[in-house]
Amino acid sequence: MRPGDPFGRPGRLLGLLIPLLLLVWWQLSAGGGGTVLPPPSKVLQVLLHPGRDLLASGSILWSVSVSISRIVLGFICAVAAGVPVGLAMGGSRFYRRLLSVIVEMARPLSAIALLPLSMIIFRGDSLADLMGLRSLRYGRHILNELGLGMVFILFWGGVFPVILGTMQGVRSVRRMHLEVARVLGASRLHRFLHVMVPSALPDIFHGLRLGIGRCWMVIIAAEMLPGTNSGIGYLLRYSYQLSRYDVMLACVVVIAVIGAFFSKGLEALGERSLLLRSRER
Amino acid sequence: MLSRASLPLAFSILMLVVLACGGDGPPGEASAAEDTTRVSEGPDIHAEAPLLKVGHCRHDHHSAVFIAQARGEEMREEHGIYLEPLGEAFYALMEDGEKVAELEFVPSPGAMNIPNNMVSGQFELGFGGVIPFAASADQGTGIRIVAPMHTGGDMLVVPADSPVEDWEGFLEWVEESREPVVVGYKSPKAVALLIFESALENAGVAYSYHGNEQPGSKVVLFNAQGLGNLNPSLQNGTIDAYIANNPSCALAEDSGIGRCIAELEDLPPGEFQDHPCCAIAATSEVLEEKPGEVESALRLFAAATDWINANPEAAAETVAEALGNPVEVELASMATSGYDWRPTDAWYEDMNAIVCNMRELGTFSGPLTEPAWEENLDLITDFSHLPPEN
Amino acid sequence: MRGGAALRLEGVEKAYRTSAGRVRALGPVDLELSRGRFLCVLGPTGCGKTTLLRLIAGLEQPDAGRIRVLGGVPEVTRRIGYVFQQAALFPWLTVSENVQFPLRARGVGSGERRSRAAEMIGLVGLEGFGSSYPHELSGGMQQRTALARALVVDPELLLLDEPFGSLDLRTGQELQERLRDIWKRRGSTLVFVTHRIEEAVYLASDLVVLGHRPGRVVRSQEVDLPPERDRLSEEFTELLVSLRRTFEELVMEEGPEG
Repeated sequence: MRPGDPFGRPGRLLGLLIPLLLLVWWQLSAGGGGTVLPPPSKVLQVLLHPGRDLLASGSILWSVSVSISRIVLGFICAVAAGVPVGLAMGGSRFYRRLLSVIVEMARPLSAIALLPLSMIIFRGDSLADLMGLRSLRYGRHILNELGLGMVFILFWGGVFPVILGTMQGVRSVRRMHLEVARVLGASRLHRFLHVMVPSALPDIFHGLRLGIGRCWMVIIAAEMLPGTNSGIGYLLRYSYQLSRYDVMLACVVVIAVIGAFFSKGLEALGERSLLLRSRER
Repeated sequence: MLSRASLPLAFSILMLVVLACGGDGPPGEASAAEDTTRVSEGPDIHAEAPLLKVGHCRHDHHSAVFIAQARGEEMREEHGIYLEPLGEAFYALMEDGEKVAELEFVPSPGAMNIPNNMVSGQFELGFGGVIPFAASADQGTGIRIVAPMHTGGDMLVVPADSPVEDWEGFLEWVEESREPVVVGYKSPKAVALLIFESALENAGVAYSYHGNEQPGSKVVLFNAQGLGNLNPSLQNGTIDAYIANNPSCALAEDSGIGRCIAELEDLPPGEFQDHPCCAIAATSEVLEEKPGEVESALRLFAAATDWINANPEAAAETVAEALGNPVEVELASMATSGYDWRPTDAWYEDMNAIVCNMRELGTFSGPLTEPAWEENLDLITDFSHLPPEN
Repeated sequence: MRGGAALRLEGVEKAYRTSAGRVRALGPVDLELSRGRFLCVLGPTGCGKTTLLRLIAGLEQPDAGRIRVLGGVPEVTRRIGYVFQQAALFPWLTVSENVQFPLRARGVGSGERRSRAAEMIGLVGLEGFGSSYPHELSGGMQQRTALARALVVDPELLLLDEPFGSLDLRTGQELQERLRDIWKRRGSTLVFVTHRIEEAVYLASDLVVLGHRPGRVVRSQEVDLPPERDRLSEEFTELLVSLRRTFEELVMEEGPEG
């Protein structure tokens, strides 16, 4: 038992306590009249049959796969652009001056604000169209579902935390380490790649976690684009419009669980860099 | 230093001003009320009366609301039932020289959300689409359609520069086109889609859906996710044509984006003449607690609907002003709409077809999963509060 | 001895701008050191010893005077090694990777890098710890790693800034011995900054005492003790006491001023 913690050593499952209590409260309150929210048992029915088609819009499984593919693609774009931009802005005053105004101006624009723009620029085109895979268009294929506009919206949602985290990481590199590297004969490039970047890794991973979280937040907006027929965000909105609150709540649960899973996964990936740096300080 | 210290101060002052301005919404009500007392000397419009909250969209299918709001004087003279403004959103419902209820109008951003807003208690009487109302009834919300309100108004629109002139021309175009013709629709649960599909089937045109396209399809139907997305999508070439209700079609003509070439209900086989579109629904609570007031409100909207049909040009002017659309757009748009509060045989028939289609699409999980039309109808509608037809 | 001056300073001065105004940290300082010597710069805390090292390393520029290092102007070159007061290891690299860092920066191939690092790790007494991370090491082991990292490229001039200052006596003494061994074996030039008189007497072939604020040379001498030094010998103690006296005088001098 740790002396500072009056509850002793917390178990790994402690985090599930509050969700469980909420579930119990929800089940108890849903039975009584006045509310039209279905009880958790009804939502569970939906979740227990993830392969069943819902509202002629595809099953939960299909919707989730489609949304994950969209998010992963958008997030990869966000990382591919955000990390280099963050490194440049953190490492060089020139790039910081050059880019900070545009980044600060672009950052508050929410994904929803960009829907019309994205619609006009990307039309209904999907990744399959971009890759010239016209033959894939027949039938349901995941590449048909990867709308370029959606990827853009998701990219937008994820890129700013990545830029800012990376920049923050590079800027917080310890002067001492840079000086040591310099007297040990490392060139500017070598110092950048072998001192700044590894130093910044924990902050970069923090940015990535925030970024993927934002992607899960904007998936609903992304799937509001014309030409969308599936996806967990689409299903959520569509079921709400048809008063299918059981399906809607199932979508909420799925997004919450998978979103947390993604964030935790990135955390685990970044754990080592974080561990080493925090020990050192 | 000074500027740095004064910045947070200036910010807090700004916040205070904003809060203060936000806070004085209600007083505007008082001044409006003063104005109106001078206009009508007779009846006491400030008498105590039960409040009825009415939700609607800023859409010309819900024109009865705008007519009732703006044409009080004419309504009083011609129908004896009318509204007196009490403030921005509040009106006194006057019938036979007496205030029988107070109406608060609550605008909602999307017709699809009207039943959800009623469930969450934002209003108890709502103008909205028959499909979301039926879906909501299936979930046991107790929401019922209490009056038909609007029918038809669905158009087939092609780009302005297209040579296609009519339905036959459209079919020729589809037949000759090497690539499938992409036709946009606003939502999978739009009645327009149902009608268009039956027209395509009747004409023997193979079609499928964007995202699940089938080989050999001559038409690919594209979910634009919202009426507002159709015109931009047509303009930038995402879609080749679209089917939708007015006024987006009239707006497309007015702004030179597209042309309406057919009214969907006229297309063969023509099963959907005067199909239900928008209706008025009520919560079970308000039907139980304030049936008299609901009946008065329905008499008002029925009278407003009759007024629209009797004065189409004046009505279009009022609606255009209320929505900020050009008068020509509303004239064209409203001319294609049917405003009728009486449930006709066609209405029942088409409603049945719509419910069957919803069932096929897996919309229901409650009592409406059973194809028992009489029982279904009892669950969806309650027309007992409508005024007697004359 | 390879001959020629490793180091020559003429009238070198350095001041810092602080919130209290300009503070003269060093100077004017004159100093000369031949190649292959082991110079200890002794002085009380805050006398500008670190500044002196940083000027020599080229990490900072003097305000006045002239510095020649290995026959050229001071610049951060690959011929100079530097060991900081804190080990300043890269926490994301293992001991071996830390030691390989300067080799990597010079583009040395990985095979050679590994063997040279292993050799250096042996030399500072860290066998078996090559794959440990810095946070798993004690302060002494971290400092050994830092030493190995500075020595692995065989610098002509090695600058050390109180490297053993935070270590316990035994570890400190063991590392002092190792450092002397290395110096004797390699014949490179060392400048070692410390405020511990005994350490300086044990290590140095040349001694300079800096006084405070601004730092200037108050005493300079060669140490003519035998190569194998006995901390308990009379000569050793004599030099120790003499240096302590110089320190005391510095403090007395400081009194009325401060």
